[in-house]
Amino acid sequence: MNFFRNTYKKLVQENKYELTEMPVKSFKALNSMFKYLETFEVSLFELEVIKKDLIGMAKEAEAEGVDFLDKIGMPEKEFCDSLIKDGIKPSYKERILPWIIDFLIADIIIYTVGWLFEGTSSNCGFPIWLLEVDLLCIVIDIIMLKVQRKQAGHVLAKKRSRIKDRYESAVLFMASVFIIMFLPLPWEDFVIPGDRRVIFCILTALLVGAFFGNNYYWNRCSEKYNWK
Amino acid sequence: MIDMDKSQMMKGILEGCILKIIDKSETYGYEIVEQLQQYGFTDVKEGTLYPLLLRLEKKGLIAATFKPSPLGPKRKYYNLTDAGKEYVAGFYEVWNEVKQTVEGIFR
Repeated sequence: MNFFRNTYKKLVQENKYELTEMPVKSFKALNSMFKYLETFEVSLFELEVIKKDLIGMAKEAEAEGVDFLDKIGMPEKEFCDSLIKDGIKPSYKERILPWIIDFLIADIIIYTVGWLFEGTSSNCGFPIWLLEVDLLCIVIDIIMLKVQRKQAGHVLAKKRSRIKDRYESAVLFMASVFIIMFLPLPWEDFVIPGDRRVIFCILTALLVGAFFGNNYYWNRCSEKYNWK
Repeated sequence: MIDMDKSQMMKGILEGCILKIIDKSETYGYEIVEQLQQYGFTDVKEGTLYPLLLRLEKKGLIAATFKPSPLGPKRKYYNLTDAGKEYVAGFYEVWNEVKQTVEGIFR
């Protein structure tokens, strides 16, 4: 098993490329279906395999000179709902691993910038406020996903979304930014007090571990599906 | 004449019929739809078929491989697994039992 390669990312990139090669009508139909499917709680790898199959179906329709939606022969939302109905629920690792990697990268960048300004001589540590911001971003991510699902459903059903739904994501985002800015964070306290160089090395080691762990997880996941 | 809603009756039957078609030879989605339509399942389209194929694949009754196709893009070909062969045999047994029972009632 190759720990340096991530089969999930490879499939995502392949699908993105193939989608951009589609004619405009098929692209629009596929794009709106994908946006709707992405809002459901289905295994991410399974979702990419479904996308690959749908792109293949659209390409065949184009080769046969048939409209992709005529080939499916049913309303898009109904088709997508039937695909998701028996979908495999994602394991908690699928959501957590990308978050961990993103936050470790952001934390290393913020920590390094702080290091450049304050130097190596100061004893400090990993601040609490950084951890709280990470956790708040996870909460926002979950809220936004639920709102996007509603909106994507309206688009696919060609229904005009209510004003309330249309501005819901904007209001939630503004409220979250407001909460972060005015949250009474203990700016002086540290989750892990210690030398700045040691903390940086710990963060980097965690990132490397998370990177290889992530690749291992997705490579194991890909063995369950026929996608090549 | 009352318009009989076939869809409920079809739901249980379609999977068994799809598996039997795949059992005859390795095949792909559009070919399966064509064969089903030839046999009388005129309402079946690829949109109906694809979710069923996904479900059968997850259950381990069929296996899929991507192969080059004459039309250009790689195509997913399906064949029956050992579990699928057992399922088809069991389905046909149950179908015969049900058919005999219903025919007995209507005679």
